[in-house]
Amino acid sequence: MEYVMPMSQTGVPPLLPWLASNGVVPHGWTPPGTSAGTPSRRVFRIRAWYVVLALVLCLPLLGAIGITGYFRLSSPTQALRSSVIESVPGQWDKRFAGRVGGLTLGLVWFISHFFNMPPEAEAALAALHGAEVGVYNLHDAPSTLDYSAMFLAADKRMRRLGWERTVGVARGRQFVAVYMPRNLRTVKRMACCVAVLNEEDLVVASARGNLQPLIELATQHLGDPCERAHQLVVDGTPGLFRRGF
Amino acid sequence: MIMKHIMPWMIGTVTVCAAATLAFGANEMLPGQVDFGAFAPPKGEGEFVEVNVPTGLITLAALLVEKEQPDVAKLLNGLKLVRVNVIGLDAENRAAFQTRAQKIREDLAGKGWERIVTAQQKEQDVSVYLKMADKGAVQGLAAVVIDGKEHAVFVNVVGDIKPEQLAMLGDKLHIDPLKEIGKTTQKPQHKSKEKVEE
Repeated sequence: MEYVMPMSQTGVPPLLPWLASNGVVPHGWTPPGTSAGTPSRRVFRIRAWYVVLALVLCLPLLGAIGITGYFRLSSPTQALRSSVIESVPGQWDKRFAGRVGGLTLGLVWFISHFFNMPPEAEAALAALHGAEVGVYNLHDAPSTLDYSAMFLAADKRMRRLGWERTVGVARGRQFVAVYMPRNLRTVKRMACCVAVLNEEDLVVASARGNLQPLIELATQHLGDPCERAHQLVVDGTPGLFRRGF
Repeated sequence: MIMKHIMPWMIGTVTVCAAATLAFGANEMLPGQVDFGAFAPPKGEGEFVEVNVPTGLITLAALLVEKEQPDVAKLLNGLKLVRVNVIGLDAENRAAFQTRAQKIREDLAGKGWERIVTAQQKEQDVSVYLKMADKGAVQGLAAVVIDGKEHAVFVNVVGDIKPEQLAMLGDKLHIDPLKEIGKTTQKPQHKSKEKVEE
């Protein structure tokens, strides 16, 4: 049996009935761009309005979540901060806590293309995927600190989250702990979490990103990249590694 | 019916095996790695520095110097772990750390580590050990130092490294104790003589 499609006189196949009549299909769905005031079309409009309304209502909520996100620390940083704070008796006051995520940094990176920026700054923006910092102040500090307990508590919490301590320093009234993810295998997904307690000031910070652009830039422009990296990172905490025995 | 009885046993056996594998895997040590044990910071103002550089960071350091210093990159790529502990000694912990250092030295000697440097000068006591594979390749280096009455230093570098490269490694990773031990290993003859003279 052979089926022959009906053809119009111009040789073009005729339109489907509901398209040709610009009307409503028998099952009630109205194709977009048609104009008819049938009840089934009203149902579609109502559904669209629900979506629009939900979006309008959700926008402030999403905005609020986004804005508060700038002042909330991520879970590894929170864990590190809590472990230090709970190990040191005394009254802690929050001075500042801020966080910049990948979306904001991506936006800044995009906008930076419209300005003439030095390559170092562009590479830094491309490398950084997120950063956060919290500053706290200790009142009524004890005369001696139990660094052993501080390291133990911090190690325990961070290990649960998959982080291992890379550097630990305790000297006088200074305490430094640096953590990195245990499964660190590539420079494209680097992350680091640091706690520094100096006298009565605690700073917790973390950053994550792709170091590849920075390494490329360093190997192209800077003399000894290791020396430069050391100057940038380690010299920020003077004397930590500059101790012989 | 039989399956009903067997299944709990099978699940139990598999769970126990998995737990055992995980437990042994977690404690598995690399060839050339030394378990110095955990070090606690001294109470009071005493100094405590612990640096644990994993393979990922060593690879990163190698990437940084690959173009300009290929020999250093080659050295770094041959390493798997660098661990350095510096503990300040005081009246409370001095005796304990001296005993501990002595025990670690004995353990290393008992486990086939070759003592390649012994330097004793005044109150400084440096011992450097190498762990060699059967074919002569270096698997790791360990150093135990008691620096007078001030510091105890424990170093373990896992991978292919020669004692004379320690100073360079310390320089590149910016770990001063490694540099200091490296300097000591570069002139062991002189220091050994001083020991004899004393």
